[in-house]
Amino acid sequence: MLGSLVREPVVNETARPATMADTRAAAFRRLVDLHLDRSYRLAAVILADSLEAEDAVHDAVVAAWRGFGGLRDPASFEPWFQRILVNACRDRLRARARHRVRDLGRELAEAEHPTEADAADATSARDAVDRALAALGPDERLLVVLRYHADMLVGEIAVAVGIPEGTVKSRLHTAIGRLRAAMEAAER
Amino acid sequence: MRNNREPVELQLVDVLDRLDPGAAPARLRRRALEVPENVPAGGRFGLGLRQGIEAVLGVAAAVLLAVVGITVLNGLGISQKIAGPAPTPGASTVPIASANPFEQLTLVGPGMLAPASGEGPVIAVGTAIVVLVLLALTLQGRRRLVPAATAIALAVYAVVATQVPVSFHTYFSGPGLHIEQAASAPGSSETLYYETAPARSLFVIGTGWMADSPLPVRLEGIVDQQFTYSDAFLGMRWMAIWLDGAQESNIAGPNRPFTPMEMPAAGQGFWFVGQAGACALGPDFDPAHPDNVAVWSSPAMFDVVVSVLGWPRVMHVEPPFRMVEPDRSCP
Repeated sequence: MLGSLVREPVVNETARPATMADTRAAAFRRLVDLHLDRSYRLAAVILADSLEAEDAVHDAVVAAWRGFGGLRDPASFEPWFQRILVNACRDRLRARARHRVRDLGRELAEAEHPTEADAADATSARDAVDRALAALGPDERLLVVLRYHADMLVGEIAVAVGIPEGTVKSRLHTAIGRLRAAMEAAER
Repeated sequence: MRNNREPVELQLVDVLDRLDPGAAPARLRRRALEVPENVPAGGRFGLGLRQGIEAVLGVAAAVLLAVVGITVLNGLGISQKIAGPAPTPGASTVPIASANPFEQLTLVGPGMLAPASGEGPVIAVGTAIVVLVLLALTLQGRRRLVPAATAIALAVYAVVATQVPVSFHTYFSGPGLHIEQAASAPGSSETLYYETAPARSLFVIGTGWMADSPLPVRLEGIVDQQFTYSDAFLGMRWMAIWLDGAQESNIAGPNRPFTPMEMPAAGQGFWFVGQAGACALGPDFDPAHPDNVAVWSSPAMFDVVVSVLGWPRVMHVEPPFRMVEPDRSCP
């Protein structure tokens, strides 16, 4: 009877000694958890779509995990991961630009019967900037978001995007010129 | 920083801030944190292996491209133009100046090529394309465009160089040394020549060729057909090519040993040096009384090696004349 009360030892997965892979996975999770909110917000603003931003961030996390073994300095995780995320967002913006689907039915209806709110918004400077922002090319939009939402310096943007600083400056200058023109046209 | 911004920038910041959704949703955090469990890690070893494979493929592609480049340059004759014409052993590049230039055509070898000369860089180009495709599949991002574009360019080059049509036309033929024109059979338009050279001696016959192709055609030579049997009609064997000294399709007689050349649009005269077979008719043969010897004729086929865009190919060219040899067995 007593013998039946003696329980067989149970192999507990959580009790096994941590391997190097476990340690690495734990470190990766900690770093991702730390930067997830900022990354998601950045992706959502770049893509102007919070659902697509989730997919972009997830893709970036997968790519980062695959390359995590090559990252020698954990302190450089943030710029490294941001570069991966920016590339993932840029790829999505470019794919979207290639396969842009226009809701022609809705556009025609709005053109024929503009609502009062639409008419009021159309005159506002913010709406004009919003529309001009949506019309920017993928690369210009990316730079504008990094500069004016993420508050990154030109040099930091150049590193994150992988283009020369001069190119960043000229593209930002062009983009702001377009936005300014749109805003001034709306104010007239 | 934001205080120094102009109105459009402030407006832009406002628009962008409105797109900010705030903290990441719980489902994204869950998906992200599960990635290490669901996705195999690359690891440092994996990355190192990948970089090693990329390096090996890159070096292999560079070496193969260099081989292809050298082969094509040789085929185009550019390396010879840089280094000057390679002297044939024993050959004099001094033009022939003699009362009977055919007597001097004892030099054999110029223009004769080994049977494998027309195979082309197919192995090097094929291997290079495979390696470049593997490299393009291994690399990531825009870097893969370079090997992919190079592989496509190589494939296009191979297709064009091997498929562009080339044809040869003969615009004259005539006897040179130890060869006599035979009377054609009644009603026949064939041009027949008796080989009257002694057995195993040299004879010479001239013919003019014109190449027809949309791309420049370079004549490399003719294949030396070393037949193992010598008692039949192919007792003769081509031994050398000499170039005619005339310009623009005129005929002036043999001038210098053959060197690979781009075919002129107006054509080029060649003098082919042949070695009569062991059963040759010989100098005692009297063309006026051919009935004394049983003879038969055969086409003197040439396997011509030409190259287009540096890629060689073998063409079978049948001249408009036939050689007449004795129909008999001999030791």
